[in-house]
Amino acid sequence: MKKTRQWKAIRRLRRLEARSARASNAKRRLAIIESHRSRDHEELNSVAKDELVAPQKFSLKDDDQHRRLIDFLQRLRVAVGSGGPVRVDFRKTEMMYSDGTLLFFSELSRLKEMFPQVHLSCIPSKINRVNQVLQHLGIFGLFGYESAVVPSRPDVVAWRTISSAVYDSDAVGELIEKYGSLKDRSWYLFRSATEAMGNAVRHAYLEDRRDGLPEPTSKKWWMFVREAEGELTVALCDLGIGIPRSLPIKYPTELIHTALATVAGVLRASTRVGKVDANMILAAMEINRTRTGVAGRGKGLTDLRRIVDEVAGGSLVLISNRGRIIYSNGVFSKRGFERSIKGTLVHWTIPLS
Amino acid sequence: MINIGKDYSRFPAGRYLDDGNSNGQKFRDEFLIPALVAGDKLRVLFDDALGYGSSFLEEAFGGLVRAGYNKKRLDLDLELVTSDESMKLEIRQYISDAQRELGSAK
Repeated sequence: MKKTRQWKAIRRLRRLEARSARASNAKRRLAIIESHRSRDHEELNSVAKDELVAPQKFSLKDDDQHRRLIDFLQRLRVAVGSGGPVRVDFRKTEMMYSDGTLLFFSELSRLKEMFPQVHLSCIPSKINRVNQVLQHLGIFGLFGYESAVVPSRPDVVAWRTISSAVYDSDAVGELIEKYGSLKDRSWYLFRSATEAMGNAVRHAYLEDRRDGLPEPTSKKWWMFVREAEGELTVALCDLGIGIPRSLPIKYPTELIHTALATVAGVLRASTRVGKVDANMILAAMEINRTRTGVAGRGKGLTDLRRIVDEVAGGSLVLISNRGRIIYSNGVFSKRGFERSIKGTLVHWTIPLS
Repeated sequence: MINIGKDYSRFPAGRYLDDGNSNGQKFRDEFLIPALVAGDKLRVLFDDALGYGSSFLEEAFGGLVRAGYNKKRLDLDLELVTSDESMKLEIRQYISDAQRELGSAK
């Protein structure tokens, strides 16, 4: 009898303890839910101003990708220039190509430098490879986002970047020298890359960029280099006025018209601004090619294609404002786009085999 | 003799003094001209540098003509030593063009 009463007391005590534990757990779960709600409200309030959805592909290759990326960059400039806060949502982003990524990286770096007080944040991509790129290039860092991603993919960690506001042939040369697989091609790549850098430093920032923002304190160029899958990719970007706008500042109208007539076949007015910009890029290269001996003139833009002339299978893509030219196998092709990148991006692909 | 890659810079590029530390104007004024003033034939070695920008070459060598050295003298006194024959021709062309430009300016 006594033992029965003891067992009953023990069972009652255990029921009370279990009830108490359930109540504690319930309280704890409620507290967690409440804190999440509070954090969500804070986050909603903190990004109430501007939330931008990043494009699916960071690329300048075709009309659609080009337009989406440029529209996104324009919205980013407006949002940051308006004072923010700004959040960029990368959840839809699936691919980051070198041309589009370099342009974005340059724009973001520039905005961060011009508006350090603007609060930037981001939501990472659902794609691990994209997050590795964003982490490796320091883009997450520019957004103040602490990611746990550790870049490990060989095609991601192979990217190297440099940037400067001055003519720095040492930096470009030291970067190129790291790629021993280039061998004697480095001789020509150095020429092409330093001439692109020289154009960015000397001619890109002659006037206001006309992007609605104040003039930046430093007028920079940015460079990406990567060796992967048997080829070297080198790209250099400036956010200046572009070749179509700098050409009339540097050269007399008659000279430009003569060059345009040479490259465009028949000089005719075009309502497609993009095509005009592409022709202006070709005209700039033609002027550089023919006026090599004039005091104070160099071969500049013509040198950009030297590495492509020396290495079979290589290519040069030059995008400036709305125009794009591609040079490969000794042949130029050109096209125009609806939107302007508001600057110049030079991109080489060099086979290493 | 001047070995550009060893005596001046492994990364010679740029034209003017504000084009970094390895520009053509500086090389011409601080290396080429003093060596030519010394009077002897000048050998210039190119292959120990990583490469050369055309702006550097034009300002350094075409600029010698603008600094008062005529093409005839440079053809005799300036020896270019490099495995890149096209660059030798390029430099000689810069000198010729600078001479022609100077002649047409008079």
